[in-house]
Amino acid sequence: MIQDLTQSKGVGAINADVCLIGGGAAGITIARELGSRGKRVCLVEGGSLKYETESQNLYDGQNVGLPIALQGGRLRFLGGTTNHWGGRCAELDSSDFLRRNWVPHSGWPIEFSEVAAYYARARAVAGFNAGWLPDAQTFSLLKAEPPALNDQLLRPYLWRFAPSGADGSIWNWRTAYRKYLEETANIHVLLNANFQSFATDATASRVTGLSVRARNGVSASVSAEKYVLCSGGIENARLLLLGAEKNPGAFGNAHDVVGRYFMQHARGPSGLLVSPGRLARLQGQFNVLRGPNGMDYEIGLSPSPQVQAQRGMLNCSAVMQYQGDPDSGAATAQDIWRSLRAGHWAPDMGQKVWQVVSDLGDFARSVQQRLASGHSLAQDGASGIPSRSAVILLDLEQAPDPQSRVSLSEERDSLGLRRVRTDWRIGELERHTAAVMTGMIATEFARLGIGRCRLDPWLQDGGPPASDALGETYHYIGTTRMADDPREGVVDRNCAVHGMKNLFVAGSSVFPTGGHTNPTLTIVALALRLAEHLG
Amino acid sequence: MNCGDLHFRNDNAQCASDVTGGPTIATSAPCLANAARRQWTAASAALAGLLWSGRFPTLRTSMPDAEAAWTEALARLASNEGVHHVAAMYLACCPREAATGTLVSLIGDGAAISARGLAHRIDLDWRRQDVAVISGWVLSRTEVRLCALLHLHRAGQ
Repeated sequence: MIQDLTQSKGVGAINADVCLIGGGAAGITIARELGSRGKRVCLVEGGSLKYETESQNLYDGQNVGLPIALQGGRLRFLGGTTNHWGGRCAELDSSDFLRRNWVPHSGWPIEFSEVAAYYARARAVAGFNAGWLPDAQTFSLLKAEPPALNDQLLRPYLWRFAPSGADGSIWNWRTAYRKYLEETANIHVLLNANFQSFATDATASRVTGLSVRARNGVSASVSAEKYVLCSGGIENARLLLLGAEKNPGAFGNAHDVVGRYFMQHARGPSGLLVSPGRLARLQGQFNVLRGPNGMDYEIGLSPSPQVQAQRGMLNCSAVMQYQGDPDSGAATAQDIWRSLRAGHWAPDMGQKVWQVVSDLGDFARSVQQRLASGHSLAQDGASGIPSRSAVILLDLEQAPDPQSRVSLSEERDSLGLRRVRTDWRIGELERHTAAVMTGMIATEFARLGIGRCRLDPWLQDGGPPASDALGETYHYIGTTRMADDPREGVVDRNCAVHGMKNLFVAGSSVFPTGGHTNPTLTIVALALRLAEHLG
Repeated sequence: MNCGDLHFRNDNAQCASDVTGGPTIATSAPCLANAARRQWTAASAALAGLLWSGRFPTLRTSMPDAEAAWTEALARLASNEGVHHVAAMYLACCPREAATGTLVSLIGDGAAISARGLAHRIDLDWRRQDVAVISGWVLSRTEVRLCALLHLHRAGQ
């Protein structure tokens, strides 16, 4: 059942077995799991069924660190941030779970296998009903067998994209599961139900109730056996800090850890690959490619676990952003098409047509590649256009840094609650990782005769700081990190908040380290694991 | 080990692992990338021509081999000025290598240098990641030594 609190003055008190706070990938996944087991679930969502500016404004906050799109990076309506999800999926590496001597505060309290056991089901929840083949089979399917890289250094890395919805939109949890939520009697979704406060027992070790309020003033309360924060990597920390504000030392913050170790996947260009000839072969190997099964894939590069240890670097990945050769037949054909579409007959049209004709081989290959990746030649963009150069784009794991943090601002939102304050930082280990990774790509690509690389200025001595080159990815990680010791983390290995008997956290905020890959699949796997624990 | 502007990753390394400074080339604009390729080609052609002309007898080889070797091995330098800049920095740091005979011996590992041998040595550099970073461009140690060799030749030493 889906109900809008704005229109429900008489809703009053709701009783449930489990109360979920937040209706994104984690919240909806847990609701489905518990709902299918007959549990009474109440899912409170701050937004409605669609984007509303007034609701989104509640995500505003104060930023004192590196730039963060506090509003643009998160979405506040049913389905949460999956409403602008790109669908790019991969699993964490097993090495991401290990304690690494060269990465301070690294290591999960659980092993990779404990999460891996849930990945197969997570894929199905994320829309991958079929077609998730092993990597080697996928490379073969795509006819994209990677070059003979030294696998002690670099390995090809594969992402799969979630399928499109029936209307062509990218898969998201709202459109995929709205009907299910509407039709399931033991799941009560309350929209426009904004967090107001927690009620606790006398020792503040058990949550006894949750107050919610719509922006028009209608309020309600939820009483449940267990409560789960599913509000995203920044908001989960904020809600715990708001709880701890009234109950100092409780809500997992006895050791001032809540909100600390705030990470993302820092993304930015790290170098330029240049080749005397065209990079046609590479473009067929490291690129976004569509398989004959209709699924989209992306192939990039990542460092081996051995080299990460040898070089004292973080995990990371690189993809190639090809720059179309303006002299190629395909790029020229695009020019001709643009001219004709604009109603012009360019004076050098004859020369351009000759350029296309004299490059027929690569032109035909370009058309084939663009069609295979779902683009027509008429569409703008370098996809499939022969290139002689490519920008190397990195996604970097971040080292956990207690000074990089989310806290509470003195400013208050329209509901009277303190807004969030973010201080996102990028450290030297991230810069070192980018330099080593780009250097390895340079040496391997030179060895294989693919081309030569130039490191970007921020990776050279005396260059600008890394923060000038790297930006955010909206993958908010680490603010309620998992650790057995409450001095080092906010939740335990079962995602229960330290010191709280019935409060849990779901989402990437519990990742102690985040690897380099998109977090959604792991968020869902951990949500499935938590649902099993909640019973 | 530290030597002026040169920073060595490995104390056992005989000479440069990391060289910084020199001319710069922007990385983002394709037109500049094209310019870099043209400069590389020019630098490669100059070196190939010089070597093939027989002015380094120990490096003389047949034109097709030289073309193949140099196209493969020297499509890399940002500019002719870059060659001399790299060489000057390297020789300042490794003065004991500042003689053509020494460099030829090091590049050839004591044997006569052939195009195939050069390609092999450069391949070995890549495999060992025995590289120098100059103005961002990643070069193999052998390539850096070749720059030094050309520099000494032009200086008549």
